[in-house]
Amino acid sequence: MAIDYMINIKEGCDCSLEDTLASLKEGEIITDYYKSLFLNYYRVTSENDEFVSALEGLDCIESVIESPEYNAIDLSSQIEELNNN
Amino acid sequence: MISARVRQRTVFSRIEENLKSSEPLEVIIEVDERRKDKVARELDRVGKTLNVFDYVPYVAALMEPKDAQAVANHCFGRGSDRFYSRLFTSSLSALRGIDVASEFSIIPVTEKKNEFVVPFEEMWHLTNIGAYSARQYATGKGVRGGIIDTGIDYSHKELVGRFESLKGVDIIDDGSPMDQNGHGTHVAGLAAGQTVGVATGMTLYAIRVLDENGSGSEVGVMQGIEWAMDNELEIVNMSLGSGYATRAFEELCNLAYKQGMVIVAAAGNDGAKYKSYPAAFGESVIAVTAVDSNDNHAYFSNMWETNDISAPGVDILSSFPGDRYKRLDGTSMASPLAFGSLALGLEIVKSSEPLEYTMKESAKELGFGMAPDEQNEMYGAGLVQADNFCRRLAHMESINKKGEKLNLLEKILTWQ
Repeated sequence: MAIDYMINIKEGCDCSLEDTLASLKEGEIITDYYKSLFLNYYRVTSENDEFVSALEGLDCIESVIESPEYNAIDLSSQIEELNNN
Repeated sequence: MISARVRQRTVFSRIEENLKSSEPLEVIIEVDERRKDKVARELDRVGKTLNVFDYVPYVAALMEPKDAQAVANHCFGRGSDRFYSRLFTSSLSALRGIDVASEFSIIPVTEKKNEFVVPFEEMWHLTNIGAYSARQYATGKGVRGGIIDTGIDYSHKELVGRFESLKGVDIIDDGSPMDQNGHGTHVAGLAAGQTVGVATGMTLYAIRVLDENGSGSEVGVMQGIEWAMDNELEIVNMSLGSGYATRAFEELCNLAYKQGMVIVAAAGNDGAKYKSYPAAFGESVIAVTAVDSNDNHAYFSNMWETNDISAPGVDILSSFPGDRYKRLDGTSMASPLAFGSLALGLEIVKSSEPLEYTMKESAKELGFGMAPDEQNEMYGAGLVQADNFCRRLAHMESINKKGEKLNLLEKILTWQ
């Protein structure tokens, strides 16, 4: 199952992170990536965190974290029951 | 132009169509302007007065079809029912006419293959927040809002006309934002559905950030918000949450808020003094708690100091994928009712600035006698009252326009 990671980067940094992510995607190490339009982070979707080692040495990276999980706020068993009926 | 005689025939036939049913009809009664409050009080004896219009001589009410027929008989000269002569002790002569409010009439919906009728009482979530009466001010027309959720079944008959060619975005699979869970379609129906929703004229966008199990990542939710910002949506609803959030998520919500986006979120269903993000971010997010049909706090609804407003969230009927309708409980259901009401406000004032304050000021206070902090944690400012909210905004807007005219006049006079 794919997991979402957040790579926080330093403001104004213009390093080769985007190129690195593109090649990781091409090599199917990661599933996808997205650069934030407004803040300094990337979203990386991957099956595991093996891609992190490929980022070593890139100065602009502040942190890589596994993104917290968010859920629909219903009483979730209700939806499950409705879909099963 | 329709003649009075044809109109009367239409009214009688529409009432007669409903006579076999005991379901109440939504009617608009024309009355003597000076006596409309008295009529409203007396109408409450046979049904329920929904609204006494401020600027026109009409009263909206719910009543049994046979009662509506008796009023029509009186108004259109077919003789007075003795019962009505007694009931309207002082206002019978103030009744001028009656019409059936078509947009409020009972709409048949289909569940699976068995047709059934949704009784008007099922729409208590709309009645309790004054959503019907609010329609005289706005329907959300021209307002663009995003439902950040499991996607939406945008082909659902409840949502016909609510989408443009761009349906939204699928952050999960990079495909279509069609709902594969049901949650988002239920939420969208309450926001803007034609029979179960509040803002029946707004434009919706499905922003799919939760998968078929109703789960997703924070960074995916953030991407959804960025899509909404990039596409210049004015308002978003997030009936989703987590007990943990990064600073980046809060920063993004703050940025969107400062850019004028209205962000509405469900308070959470942990049923305790517990915070759920994004609802607990504070100023940038309008956090919505849930109440039941008697305006009592819903047992599952989170209590937290950032709660802003209450809306119905127990046993709420709304759209479900495949042209079905289902009942669900949750602050997820309360949030889109507030979202829809705010969309009405956006149509009136075209600005996010006065919305939260005015919504709180116009709310129905709940939890009398409680300590202020406790009351706020449980109910926020109280129950959304969409009609009062829109009335205040419309009043503010008319004052602003008068002010603009005066300024213009002053400039012209200065030039002269």
